[in-house]
Amino acid sequence: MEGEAGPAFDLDAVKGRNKLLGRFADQRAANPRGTELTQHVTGEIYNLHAQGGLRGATWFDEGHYVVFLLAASSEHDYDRFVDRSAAGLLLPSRRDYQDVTQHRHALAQGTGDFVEDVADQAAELVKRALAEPGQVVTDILGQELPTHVVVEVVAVDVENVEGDVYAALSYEQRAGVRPLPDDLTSDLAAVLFPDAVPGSLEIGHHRFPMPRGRRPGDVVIRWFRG
Amino acid sequence: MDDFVIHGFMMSPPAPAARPGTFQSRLVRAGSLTLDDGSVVPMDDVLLALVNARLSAGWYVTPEEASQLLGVSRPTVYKWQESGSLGCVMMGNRRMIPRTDVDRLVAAAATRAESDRITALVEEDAEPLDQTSYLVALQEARQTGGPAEMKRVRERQQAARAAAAARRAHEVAGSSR
Repeated sequence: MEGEAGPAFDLDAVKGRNKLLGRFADQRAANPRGTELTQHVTGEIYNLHAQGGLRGATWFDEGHYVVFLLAASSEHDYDRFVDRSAAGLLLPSRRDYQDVTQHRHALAQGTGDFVEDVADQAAELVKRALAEPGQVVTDILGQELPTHVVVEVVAVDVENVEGDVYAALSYEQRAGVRPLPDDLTSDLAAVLFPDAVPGSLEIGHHRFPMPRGRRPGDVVIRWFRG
Repeated sequence: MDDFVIHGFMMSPPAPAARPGTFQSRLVRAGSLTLDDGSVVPMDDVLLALVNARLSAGWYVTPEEASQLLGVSRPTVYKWQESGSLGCVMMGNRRMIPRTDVDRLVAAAATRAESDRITALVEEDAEPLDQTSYLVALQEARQTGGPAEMKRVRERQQAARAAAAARRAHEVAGSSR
């Protein structure tokens, strides 16, 4: 195989047709990092073996939880990996990372854009909370993210209720589940509170008003309405 | 639509619209069908009729048609068949390609084009905004340009994240041995 990127594809659909891709899918799903370091290249790159002398070089980006098949060769040709490493072409590029983002969007339901999909639902949830100060209203955004919203009651007279608004994104924390990315939290804050003026929202350092309180895994957004 | 099995070979449906006038020339008239496992099945009349029905419905395309749909040369189509990116079903002496495989690559190409567009929005050394700054940028974008402007801000942030991730990959992978 040449060093240039091949056509992007769905690995599951084609892994049965290519021995190296099959090994990549099976082995790196079980052991993302790998076991045998590739010699004479820069970085923690691991070899991938398949029948017929096919060889691959892989790298596990733990932070982004993705394994890259960086290069492939036939006939035990490791020199190709060494050459690409020396030229600075072995590790993933920014376009490769953007591909990861696009691929993950494509895997999602709906339009592939979670934030756009839930924007109307999120704004409606806050409207409901504003109509019922002191009551916690709940919805599951995009059928995935339980979200609670409450308007804090700080002053009540016959005609007026004042108070900040809190939203808790109740993202389940369990082993193997990564926390909500900061950017996604900001995206959701912006669509939950479309009427908030810039600077009036804060994320993460607040306790959701009683009775819910703050729970592990919650990300709390506060809208200062003062 | 249900899958359709001929002697152990799974033909997955898609069923793009048939293109009248293009399939007649590639109807299978006699011979054999080579399955994925390499075994060859003689084509009796019933099997022949079933295969031709699938061809007529546009389930398979020729390498020539695939090259047109994908915008690549025929040798590239053959190369992708050999590497497994495109399927290959021998019908007689023709190397037919499941239409689903072609459609999948067309979609992948569109995704890559989108990646290129978003990647080009920022410089290679771009830094993503911190969480608070990003939120304020989104809110300001909403005020000035509505959802469309918010989307532009989000794409720039994505591109900056990708650029930062690539830089970090070189730092982390390069310094860890």
